[in-house]
Amino acid sequence: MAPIRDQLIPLIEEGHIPKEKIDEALSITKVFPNEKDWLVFIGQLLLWLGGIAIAFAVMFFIAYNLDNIGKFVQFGAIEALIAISVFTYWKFYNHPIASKVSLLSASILLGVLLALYGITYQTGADTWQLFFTWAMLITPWVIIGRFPALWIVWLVLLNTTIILYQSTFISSYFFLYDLTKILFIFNTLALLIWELSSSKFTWLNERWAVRLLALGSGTSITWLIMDAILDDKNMLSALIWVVWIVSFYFFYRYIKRDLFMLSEIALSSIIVAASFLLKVTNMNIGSAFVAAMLIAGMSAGAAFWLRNIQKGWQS
Amino acid sequence: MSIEKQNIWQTLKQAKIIEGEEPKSDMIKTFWHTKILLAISGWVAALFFLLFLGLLFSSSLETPSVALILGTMIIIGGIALLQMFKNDFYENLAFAMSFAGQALIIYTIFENTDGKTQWILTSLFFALITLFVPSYIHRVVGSFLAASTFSITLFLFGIPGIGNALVIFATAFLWLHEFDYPKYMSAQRAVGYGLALALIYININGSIFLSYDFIIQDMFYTFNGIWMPAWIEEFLIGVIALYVAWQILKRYGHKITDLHTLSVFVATMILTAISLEVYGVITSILILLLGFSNSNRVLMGLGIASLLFSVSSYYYLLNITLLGKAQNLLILGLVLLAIYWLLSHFVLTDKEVKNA
Repeated sequence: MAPIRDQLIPLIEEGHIPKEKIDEALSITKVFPNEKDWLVFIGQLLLWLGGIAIAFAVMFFIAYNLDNIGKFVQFGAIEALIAISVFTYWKFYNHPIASKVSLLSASILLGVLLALYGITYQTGADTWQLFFTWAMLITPWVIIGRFPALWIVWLVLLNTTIILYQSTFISSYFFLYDLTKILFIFNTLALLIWELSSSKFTWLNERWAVRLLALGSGTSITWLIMDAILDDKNMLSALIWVVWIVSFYFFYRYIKRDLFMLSEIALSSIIVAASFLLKVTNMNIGSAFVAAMLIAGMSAGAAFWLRNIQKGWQS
Repeated sequence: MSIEKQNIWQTLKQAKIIEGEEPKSDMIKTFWHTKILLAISGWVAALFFLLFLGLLFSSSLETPSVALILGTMIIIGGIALLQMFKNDFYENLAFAMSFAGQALIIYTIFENTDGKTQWILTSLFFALITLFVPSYIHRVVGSFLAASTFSITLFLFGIPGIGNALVIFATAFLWLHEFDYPKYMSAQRAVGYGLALALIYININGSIFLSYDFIIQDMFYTFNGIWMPAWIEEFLIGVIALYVAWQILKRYGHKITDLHTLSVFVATMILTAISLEVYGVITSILILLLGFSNSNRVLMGLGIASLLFSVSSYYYLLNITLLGKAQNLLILGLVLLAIYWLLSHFVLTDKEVKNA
C-alpha cells in the first residue's frame, strides 16, 4: 500500500486539486501533520537525541580521561550509568520511547565497559573477543527489549566479530573471499530467521531492518559471484546465487510483497551480467558498445518488470 | 485503482475540495529504490560507453576542445533521446550516454585547469545539467554534485560557511514549498533530494577539512586558509533554523507575535546555539524536521543517516579535544531532556506523553 502522500502527489501534479485548495487537501489527508502530531514527534525526538547525546558524552569523557582518572572511578562511573539505564528501563517499562532509549544506552555503555576492561587489564584478548562478548552480554536485553534497532545493533556486533576473527586468524590469498562467504551465510540465515519469526512476533515487522539484512546478504553474494566470474574461481557461488535469486523472487513476489527486495535482485543480476560481459568480451570497440546497450536494456527491462509487478499488486 | 486512492478521492470530495468522478490514470509511481537501481545501472552502462568512446577516439580525446565538443554532443544526444522516446530502454540509454558525456567533460576540466577554476567550472557545469536535463535522476545526481562542488569551491575561497548556509537554505526552501508549484513538483523534489544528500556529504567533508590540513594542502595547493569567522556560519544557520520554524508555524495560523511562536523561536535559538558546537547535528535535525513536515519518510531516513554520520565523524574532529566534545554533547543532551521535561509537563497531555 503506497503511503497517502504518494497517492496525493499525482492528484496535485495532474491538476485535479485547485491550487488554492492544495494546503487544505494536505491537511485533511494528514500529509501535513497536525499540531498534536508535531508535539508528539518533537517529544520523541528530544528524548532520543537527549539520551544518545548523553551516552556519547560519557564515551568521549571516558576516552579523554583514561590516563587521569583512577581505575575504580572509571569502572564505577560506567557501571553506575549502566545501572541508571537499566533502572530507567524498569521504571519506564511501559513508555514506548524511554524504555528503548534506556536499553540502547545500556547496551552501548556495556561496550564501553568491556573496552575499558580490556585496556586496563591488558588481558591480551583479541579485539574480536571484545565484540563477541559484548554481543553475548547484551543478548538478554535484546530479547526482552523487542526492539528491532537493538537486534540490528546485535547483528552488527556479530558481523564485526566475524570480520575481526577472520582478519586475526586467517591470512590467506583467499581471505576476502572466505570472509564474504561467511558473512553471506550469517546474514542470510539472520534474514531467514527474522522473516519466519515476524509472523509470530509482529514487532519484528520493521521493513527497514529486514531490508538492511537483505542488503548485507545481497551485497556479499553479488561480490562472491563477481569474484568467481572475474577470477575464474569455483562456480559454486553461481549456483548459490541462482538459488538466492529464485528464493528472493518467490518469497517477495508472492508471499511477502516487497518491491525493494525485487529491486535488489534485479540490480544484482545487472551487476553480474556486467561482470560477465567484462570477462567474455575482449573489450574492443564493438564489444564495449554492445555491453553498454545490453546493460541499458537490462535496466530498462528491470524497471518495466518492477512497474508491472507494482501495477499488479495495486489492482 | 487501489481502495486507498478511492478513499482519498472520496475524502477530498466530501470536503468539497474536488468534484466529479475519479480520473483513471495508468501512471505508476516509480519508487526510490527502483530509481537507485536505474541510476546505478546507468552508471555501469556509462562506464562501458566511456570505454567505447575511449577506444574509438583515443588520441583525439587528448585535445581539450575535441573532448569538450564530443562530451557536449553526447549529452545533447542523451537529452534528445529522453525527449523523443518515453520508453525505459531509451531512457536508460540516455542515462548511459549523458553520464559518459559528463564524465568526459569533467575529466577534461580537471586535466586542463587547476585550483579554484576547476571547482568553479565543475559546479557551474552540474548546475546547468540540473537545470536543463529533463530527467529526475539527472536532477538528483546533478544537484548533489553541484552543491557538493560548490561547497568545495567556497571552501577554497576561505568562506565555507556561506556555501553550507546557502545549500541548507535552498534545501529548506524547496521542501517547505514542495506543493506550491504543482507543475514543477517533480523537478523540485529531485533537486531537494540531491541537496539533502549533498548536506550529508558536506557534513562529513567539513569534519575532514577542519581536522586534516595536510589533506587540504595536498589536494588544493591554492588553498590559503579560512578567513571567514565561524560565527558567521553559525549566525546564518541560526537564521535558517528560525525561518524553518516560522514557515511551519505559519501553516497552523500562528502569528509572529503569538506567545506560542515566540517560545518556539526561543527554544529553536537555544537548541541551534548548543547544537552548532556538534558539527552537522543541526543540519541533520533540520532534514529530519523537513521530512516530517511533509510526511516524507525517505527524507526523514536521510535525516537519521545524516545524524549518524555526523556523530560518528564528530569523534574524529581534531580541532577540539575529546573533553570539549564530551562537554558539548552533555550540555546538548541535558538541554534536550530539559526541554522534553517542560514539554511533557506544560504542553502535552498524559496520552500524548505516553505516545511520545
